[in-house]
Amino acid sequence: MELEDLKKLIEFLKETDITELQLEKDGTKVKIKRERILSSIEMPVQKSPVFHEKITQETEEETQRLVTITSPIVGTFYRSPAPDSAPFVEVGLRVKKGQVLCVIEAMKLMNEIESDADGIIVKALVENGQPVEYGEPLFLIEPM
Amino acid sequence: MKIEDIKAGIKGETGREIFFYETVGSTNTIAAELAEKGAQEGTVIIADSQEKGRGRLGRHWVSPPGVNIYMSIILRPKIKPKDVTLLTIMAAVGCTAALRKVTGLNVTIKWPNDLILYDKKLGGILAEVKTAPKEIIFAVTGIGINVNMDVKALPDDVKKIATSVKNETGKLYSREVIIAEMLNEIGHWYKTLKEMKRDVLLSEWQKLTSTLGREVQVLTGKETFTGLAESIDDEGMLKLRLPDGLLKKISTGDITIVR
Repeated sequence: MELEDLKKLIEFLKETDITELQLEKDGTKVKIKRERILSSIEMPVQKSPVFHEKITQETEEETQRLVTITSPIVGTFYRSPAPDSAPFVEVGLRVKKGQVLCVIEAMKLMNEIESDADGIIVKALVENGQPVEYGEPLFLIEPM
Repeated sequence: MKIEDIKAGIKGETGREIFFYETVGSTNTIAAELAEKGAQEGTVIIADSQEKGRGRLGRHWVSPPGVNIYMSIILRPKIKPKDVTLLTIMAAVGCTAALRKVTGLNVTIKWPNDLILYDKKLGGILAEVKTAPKEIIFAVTGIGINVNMDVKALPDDVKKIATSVKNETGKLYSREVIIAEMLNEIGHWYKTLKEMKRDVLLSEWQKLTSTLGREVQVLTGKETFTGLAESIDDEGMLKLRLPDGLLKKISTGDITIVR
């Protein structure tokens, strides 16, 4: 990583609420830690919301293109069929409609949740073993 | 095991077609394979022994030959995925009613569907369901009942928590008679479920359970809660009254009765 890149990164971070960042690239590790200054003068109160708005807009556009797989039931989310076995799917994997993506357990019913789209998994939104609610987004799939 | 004896006792549609195996990995695995190939609702898979009998979270289910019941039923309920947990309630009610009828013993249900006799586990039910976003494709309800198993011969950790009908009564029971009665009762309660007589099903479960009104410890994936098992909701999920007065809904977990 070049010094110039690092400067840019630090400048970028100043505009955000991020206080700590670790980055590893081509064998170089960088750790940046910022103290948040809680004085009214230093806080970029005006800037921050604008920045967030932009991010939100982009995310929405992105999400519209993607297929969201939601939980059809309330239960516990598992990425693999048993604790010692491999996950059904990983981010970056191409999946077919009808392929099992995960299991949601509710009352000793192991519900294998199928994909309803052909595409690539771009995001897994829930951690293994976490409770999920009815309609909660589980995966984002880029249709192909 | 005599399949013709089971068939002779069957009154309804559940169990009209039975596949019997001496030994399988797991009857649930076979049932899921058959369901994928289009096996019709009510098809039953029975094995004399299982090499990879399993419970929740891939736990082992002790499945020796010649003594117990290992059975899976293929169902294709046309209900909303949200209501799929009623299958658990239905299977627990059906199995408990049948065991009470045949043995006369006070078998009860521990939430959601463990079959309990004198505070020990007599049987377990594990369902595996293939769910599309808006429909249930198929459900496999796996049932394991300890009938004539000699509990004394089991490993210590299992012996502490498990029992069998023979262990409690000293008598041998016909597995065929119990299976036929279970299929009849399940057929009956499955009809109730398909007709969405939710209240009838839930109130029958409440009559047969020994969990409600007790202080229980619930071990969910990462957390443990202790409280009063107050009631179940419309999907059969447990409503636990915590010491701070809040009501917590439990969808998944291992229950231990504290008192």
